[in-house]
Amino acid sequence: MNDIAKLPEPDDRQLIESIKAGHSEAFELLVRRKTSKVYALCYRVIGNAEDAKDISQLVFVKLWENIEKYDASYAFDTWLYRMVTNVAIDFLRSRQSRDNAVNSTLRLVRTSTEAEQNVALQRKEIENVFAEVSSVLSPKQKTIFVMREMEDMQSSEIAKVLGCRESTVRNHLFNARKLMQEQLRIRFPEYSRLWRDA
Amino acid sequence: MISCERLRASLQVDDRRPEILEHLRRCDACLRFAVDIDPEVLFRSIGGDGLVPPGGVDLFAADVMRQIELRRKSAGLAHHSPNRLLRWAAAAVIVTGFAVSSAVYREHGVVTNQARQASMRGPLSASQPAALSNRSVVENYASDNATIMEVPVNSDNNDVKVVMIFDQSLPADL
Repeated sequence: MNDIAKLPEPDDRQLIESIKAGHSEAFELLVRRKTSKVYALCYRVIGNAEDAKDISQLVFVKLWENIEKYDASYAFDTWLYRMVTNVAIDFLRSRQSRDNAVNSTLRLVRTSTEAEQNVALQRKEIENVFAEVSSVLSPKQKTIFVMREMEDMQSSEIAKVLGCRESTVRNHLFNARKLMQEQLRIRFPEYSRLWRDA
Repeated sequence: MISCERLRASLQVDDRRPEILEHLRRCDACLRFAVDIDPEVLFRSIGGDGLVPPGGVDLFAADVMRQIELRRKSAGLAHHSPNRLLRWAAAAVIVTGFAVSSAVYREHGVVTNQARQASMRGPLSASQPAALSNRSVVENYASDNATIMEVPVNSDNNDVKVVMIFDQSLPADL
């Protein structure tokens, strides 16, 4: 075990310095620390647990391969999120992923009929609704919507992650909301009434 | 956790306070109340921490480290693979070998074909195969009964080449 692992709570930058010095334990520590964030974003963008896991692992492998390129003057999470969104958007753009998205929606519908606690059922239903109505969004629109609404990231932060203007992020968000409201009206009229005043 | 009464009293449009969202993720009644005020809270409530990959974080991290170890090993193998000069030398040997073997094959193939043709023609043609192929069999021929096929070789001096003679008066086995 090297020194970095003995520190009570090394910050991201300390970990990265240690990784650059060749300590794989530091990288494992970083993986454990960031897994939940990376996986959550992947899962919400991709909508399929297994694919999200594979994509998350791919992100960490890419992170390890490109760690030398990280510039410590920028926030590490922004750099990491950029990697996640690039990989996830690429995945969504592929035809295969579209098929998987349909399949995953079907799987979610099936699992939601299983006996679960009320809260879990409610949450699963909302996930189903989101999976369906967000299927019309472009990969970028969906990623931005997820980052803003589910990951609670600021528009300025999203713009940094995606390397675009804040106004572009706001445009994507506006269009995503509009498209999703339309889809709700078509596919889930019982939910669309919630948006009557929106 | 914030109480239902407090949440309902303080909830606003585009409310992103962590305690509010945490409550909405656990309380269906408040979620239904909240979406009447801010419909987008419906999807916002999907978010939150606590999502872990299937199998858990330990298994996930172990998988990642295994993949990295594999890549490290393959990178190490690539590092120890023959250098560029050695690769060029190997390529040159292969190309030379191929050229030599194809030349030998061509030479051997010509000899074999010639031998085969010679054996079909009989002992005389077999002894002089090259001479027969380059020299005219009939140098002079004249007959009133023959049909002689000529092909012009040079249009300027009316030079022609006889390619075939049909003569009924000649014996059939000539």
